[in-house]
Amino acid sequence: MIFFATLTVLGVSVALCLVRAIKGPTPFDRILSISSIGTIIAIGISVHGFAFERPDFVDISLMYILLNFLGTIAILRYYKIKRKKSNVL
Amino acid sequence: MAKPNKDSLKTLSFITYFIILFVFWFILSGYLKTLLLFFGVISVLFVFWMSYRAKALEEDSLPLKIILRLPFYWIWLFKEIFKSGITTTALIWNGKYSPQLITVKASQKNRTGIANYANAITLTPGTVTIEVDKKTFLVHALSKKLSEDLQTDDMNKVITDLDR
Amino acid sequence: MSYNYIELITLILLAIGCFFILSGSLGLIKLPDVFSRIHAAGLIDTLGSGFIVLALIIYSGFSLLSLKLLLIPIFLIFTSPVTGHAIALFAHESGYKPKGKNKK
Repeated sequence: MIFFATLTVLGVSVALCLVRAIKGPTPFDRILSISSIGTIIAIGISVHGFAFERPDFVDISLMYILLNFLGTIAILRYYKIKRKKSNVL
Repeated sequence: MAKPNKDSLKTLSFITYFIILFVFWFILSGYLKTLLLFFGVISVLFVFWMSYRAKALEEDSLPLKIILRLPFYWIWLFKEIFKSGITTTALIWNGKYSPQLITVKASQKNRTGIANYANAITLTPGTVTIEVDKKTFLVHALSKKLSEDLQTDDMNKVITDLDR
Repeated sequence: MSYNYIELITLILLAIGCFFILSGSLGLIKLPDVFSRIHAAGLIDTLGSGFIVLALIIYSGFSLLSLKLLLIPIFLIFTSPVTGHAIALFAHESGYKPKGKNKK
């Protein structure tokens, strides 16, 4: 029962992030909120696994976090303006 | 231990990397049969060969000196994250934020230390490293208290002490 | 009896984690510019996920599953600062200036 309440709160937070993703003035706002949605959903997957007593979903959640990170970095590289000064990527 | 030469240090760090990869494989799979363990060793060797070929294994990529002090450092870091997280949450709810830019000087010697310090600043909610220029960071802080906490140089000293 | 005890601790930790995630996504809406919103995203990544995973670990007891759950915050600790720093750097290089007073 407590897990379903947690899932409800997570859904509300995803909706709040989605407002910023639709409204956001700059592209970086959108990237940031999509990345946050990815993190919340990855946690939600493992909570969902506990709610339905199938804890195997934790593996999917791990993969989701790594793919979320890769996707964010890939989109950021697409938006990169100046190449010269960036020494991280 | 009187000055270990470079080759033996490199071998030691390779062995540590192998052990870390194998423990990671075991946590993900959880099999204990002989044949499957053998397959696990083969896949770990494959990943090892790939990262060797991509030149991801250099001298300072796995610093063995700090690996024993790492748990204490992580406990300290979690405490720090918790403290500044509560400050940031209060700022979000009561709306008294005043964002500002500050510059911070780092005193670490090698690249690993500087990357560690920049990551620690970004990881604590309320402060984000925007730009790294040699040894000065441009940091964006959410309020005046958070930026003053950073300028007391506590975090810098702890991370400099990490690879004494 | 002990079962209820564990469930109570799980409930409290889940509530704390939910509170942090909710206030992080509220900050994502409320704060004024990109650089400030990165702080809110960092709050979701570190404290919110940390408390919820801690609750799940305590609920499941110690086994291989809890080690697997422990990998989630470890991955997040390694990936979250890289994402935040990359977004801040590229927004700064593209010419967006943070609001508020700038003390250089």
